[in-house]
Amino acid sequence: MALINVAAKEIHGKIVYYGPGLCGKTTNLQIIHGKIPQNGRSDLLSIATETERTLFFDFLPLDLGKVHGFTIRFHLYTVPGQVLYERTRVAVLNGADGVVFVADAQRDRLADNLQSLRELAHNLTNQGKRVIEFPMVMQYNKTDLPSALPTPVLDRYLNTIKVPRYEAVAVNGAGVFETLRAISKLVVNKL
Amino acid sequence: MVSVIDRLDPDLSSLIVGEEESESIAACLHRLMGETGASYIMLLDRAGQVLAWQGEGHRAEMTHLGALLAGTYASSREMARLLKEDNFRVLVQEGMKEKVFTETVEDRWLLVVVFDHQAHLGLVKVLAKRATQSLTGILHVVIERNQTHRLKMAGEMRRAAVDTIDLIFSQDEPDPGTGSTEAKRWP
Repeated sequence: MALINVAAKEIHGKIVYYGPGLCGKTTNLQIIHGKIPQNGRSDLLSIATETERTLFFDFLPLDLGKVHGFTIRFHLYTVPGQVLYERTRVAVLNGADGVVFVADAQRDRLADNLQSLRELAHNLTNQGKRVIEFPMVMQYNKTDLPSALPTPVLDRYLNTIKVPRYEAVAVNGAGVFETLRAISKLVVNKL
Repeated sequence: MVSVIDRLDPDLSSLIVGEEESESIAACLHRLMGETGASYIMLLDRAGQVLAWQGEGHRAEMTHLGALLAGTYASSREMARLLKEDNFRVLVQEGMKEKVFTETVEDRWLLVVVFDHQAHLGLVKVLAKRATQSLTGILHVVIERNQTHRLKMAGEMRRAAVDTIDLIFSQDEPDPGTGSTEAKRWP
């Protein structure tokens, strides 16, 4: 639930990047952190294992600027993608105002994407959200790889509720900001 | 009896804290600060956003601390579910220099008290409990007034915020008609 603090003149929202392990959720936040202007940037906080896999979450607070005297602040989170951390994902998803589902476009990851997407729907429902109305954007990442499935195929299997979706190569920044822009607009439209 | 919290629409997408309620929150935290001698006190929503704080500390530190504390609380709630507990209402973290006491306010907000060896944990617990009861009353008022606030300001805010986001991510020159925004261009 977004928070509007009238006295402090601030609007706060929480966006969670969700998806299977190694799909590129952390990479999205690293790219955003690396490219945003210095004056809107805070440290990227990562709670990771010794092998740099996300253990709890990555966290990046973003100061988007002022509108009508109100500062818009978004908190971006990633969930840990590994199957083991299912309950941790529930905890990180708590209080989210919008979700970016990052899918790995490679053919051999389709089943993992589907499992993660089903889990996301289940978790949102358990938190009292209507999945069909909840602000969500899909990102097909790693579309540059030879093993990537064509977008229409990914659409057919993953985007059955027809949310906005973007092709991306997060590691070089392609599609990262388009995705962020789309989810930001969906979230503020729900204020 | 159905409480105000139970009647809160689960699909409600934003909670608007008005100026009067913010003043009440600040007064409550200020009093708790004086009574406990805490280093600082924060009120978070369950997503980790900082509603108010008292004491020393920079905004960036508070933001990161808020995210970690809300994550810890949400994680402990999942632990409670696994252990067939209703919830863990209180969390205590003890370090060599500082202690952190976290208590939930009707599962919507988190009251966080950070204190050193000069304050006694037992005292902090009792005083935080009293503050939590006051904050529960304020939360009820916030929820009762939310719809009125929303009707008054959310529509205008929504339109302006969408324009700002377009401006921030736009590759084009800014529209001279959007003079009320102070947005930065990304990336």
